[in-house]
Amino acid sequence: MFQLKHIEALLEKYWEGETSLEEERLLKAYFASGEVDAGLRSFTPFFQVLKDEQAVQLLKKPVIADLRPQQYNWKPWLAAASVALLLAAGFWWIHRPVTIDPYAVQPIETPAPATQPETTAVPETPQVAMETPASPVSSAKRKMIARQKPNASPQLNEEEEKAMEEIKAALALVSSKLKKGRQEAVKGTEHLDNMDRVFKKKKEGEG
Amino acid sequence: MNWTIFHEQVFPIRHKLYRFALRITGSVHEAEDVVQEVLEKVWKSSPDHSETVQNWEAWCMTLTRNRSLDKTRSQSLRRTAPLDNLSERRTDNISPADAAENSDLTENIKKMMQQLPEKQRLVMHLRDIEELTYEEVAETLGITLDQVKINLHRARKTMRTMIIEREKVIRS
Repeated sequence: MFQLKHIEALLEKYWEGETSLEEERLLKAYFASGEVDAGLRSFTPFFQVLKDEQAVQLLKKPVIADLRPQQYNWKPWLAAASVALLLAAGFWWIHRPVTIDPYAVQPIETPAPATQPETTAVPETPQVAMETPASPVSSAKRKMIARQKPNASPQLNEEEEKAMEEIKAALALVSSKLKKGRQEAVKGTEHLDNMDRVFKKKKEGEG
Repeated sequence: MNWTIFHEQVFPIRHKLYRFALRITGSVHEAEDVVQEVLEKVWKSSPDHSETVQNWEAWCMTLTRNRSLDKTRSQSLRRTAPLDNLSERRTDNISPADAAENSDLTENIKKMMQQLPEKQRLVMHLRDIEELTYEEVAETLGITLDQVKINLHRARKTMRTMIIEREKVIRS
């Protein structure tokens, strides 16, 4: 298995410090084999020591508690994520698609208080009526839109202009109908007042 | 530093670091302390510094050598002795009967190795026990390749001389 001459030559190279790592491993294997030639046996303890030393291990474990991975600090990332979320939400809120509520765009002109009797039974129909249609636009948005003048935006394109005109026409029609209805209501109220007076006079006459 | 690198490249070589520290200090407790300190230092090293390290093993071995030498020097625990009188002194103190025991022989050889001059001892340890290449030994100890070869040659030659002289004493 091991050729004595080869081993002797390797050993000479070894003492001179000219062997490769492979050759040195071969020498260690030879002296650990138990088949060492009598002439080389005196070197066995030396190679035995090298082998023994390779097996020495650290018995005391390093204090791992001090070597645990540092706790990851999530706070800065959490704060940054919150800010990013808020910014994203704000951006979406500003640029979100808006369904224009035609009823909300045209502010209804309420009649002058002088012309409207305080005792009138006619409710403030315009506002009440306008709440009736279901609208995907929030009240805040409606207020914002309502504050805008119809022709305030110069960036309207043709289609939007046309749509706006149609909306205005529709609103004008609704407005005129409401005005007419209001006049009718005033008349009705006056009629009811007259009827009331008649009933009162009748009661006084009977009394 | 990076936890993965630490666990994959640094922590597994703790035994090697310990053996190296033990070779320098000659004390189990001091060697253990050195390993602990080196591992802590590596773990706490800044990420910037970690990025510059290419060979973790060589860097850790260098840290171990420096820390061990600091400890040894500060406590005046140097165990090296001049080589000139080493073989004479050792052979004078050992009886042929004791030397015949194999266990004693290995113990004596360990002592002989420990009594080599520092540089020879460390070069021999890194090459013959840790099986590093000449280049790795040079990097770890911060010496030239020629110095590695010269010190290794001297260390082995000294060991050979001591072993042969011991053999003569046993036979006589």
